[in-house]
Amino acid sequence: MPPRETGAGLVDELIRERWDYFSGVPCSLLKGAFSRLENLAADEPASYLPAPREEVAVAAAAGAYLAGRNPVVLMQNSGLGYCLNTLTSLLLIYRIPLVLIISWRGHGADAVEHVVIGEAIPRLLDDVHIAHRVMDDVHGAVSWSTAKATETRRPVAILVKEAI
Amino acid sequence: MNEASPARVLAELVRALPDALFVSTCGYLSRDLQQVGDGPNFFYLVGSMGAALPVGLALARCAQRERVVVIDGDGSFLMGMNCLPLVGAQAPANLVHVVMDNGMHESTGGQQTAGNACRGVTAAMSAGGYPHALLVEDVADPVVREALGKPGPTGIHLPIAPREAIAPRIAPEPEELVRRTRKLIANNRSNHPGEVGP
Repeated sequence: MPPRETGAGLVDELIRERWDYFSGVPCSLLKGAFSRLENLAADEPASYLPAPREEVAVAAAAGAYLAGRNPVVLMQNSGLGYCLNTLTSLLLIYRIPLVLIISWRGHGADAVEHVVIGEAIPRLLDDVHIAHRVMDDVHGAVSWSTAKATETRRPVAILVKEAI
Repeated sequence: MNEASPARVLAELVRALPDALFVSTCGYLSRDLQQVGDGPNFFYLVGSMGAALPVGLALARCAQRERVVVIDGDGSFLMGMNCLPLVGAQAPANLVHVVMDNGMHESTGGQQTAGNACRGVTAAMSAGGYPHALLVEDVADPVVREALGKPGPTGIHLPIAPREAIAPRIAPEPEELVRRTRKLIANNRSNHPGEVGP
């Protein structure tokens, strides 16, 4: 599938699995997914909140869950640094299920600002007990994260290495 | 200025909006709110300073029949200011954003916040797109009642006095706070079917 269709397909698959509240801060690797979110039709059973910072997106996900919604947050891995405390002192201890779609800049040679976080990202997630896996196929990633987040009532993360 | 105690201000806010959902920032303000009389309509943050506004914003947008009141301090307000334009753009008519301002981080020992920078709270709210933003000394001021009668988002900046006593920590476990608030909202919704969410 061309990249942009993969991003849209990921959003569609999440909506099919009844994830219905999306927020996040864009990354160029996730362009196709954000494009799909910005063009949600009014009659689709999902909404999108464009957040100014990743911790705003994660906090909004918690508020949406209180109202009975199922939240997803999309971000670049640089944003995990911004929202780590919101994950650890809100979602993880209040036991709020969330699917994080995290683009993985710096997993190989990349621009210098991505190198440190790119190398650390799997360990960072392990250290705060957020289960994660690299997205291979959309269906597999969504069904794994849906089962894992629902069963554990915790955030889980899908790492996206290629542009979608 | 004869500033009121935070406990009194919170008690008056709850009395003015008894059916509202309250989302309160971490530290002493959540503890003070718990002292007013704990219940499932109080959702306390025990950490995540600055997050009360985005939690309340999403809650207000997704549960549109509820009135949502966010309780910030001046410190947490300054941390969460990047949300003001988002609140203005999303324009939840059912959101009230209260900033209780004692000019200090009292929960951590009274360190100053931004040295009187909070004079601009209502100006920042208006610039963010809140249709109503008031600076008042007393919740009982008739302008508060008048503003609460109009569609929000409504901002209320309230100078408060330093505390004379420290209230106990939040008693319910975080998981229980989530469970009870979700149940309350679900029950309210099933009693009033037909709500559409964004």
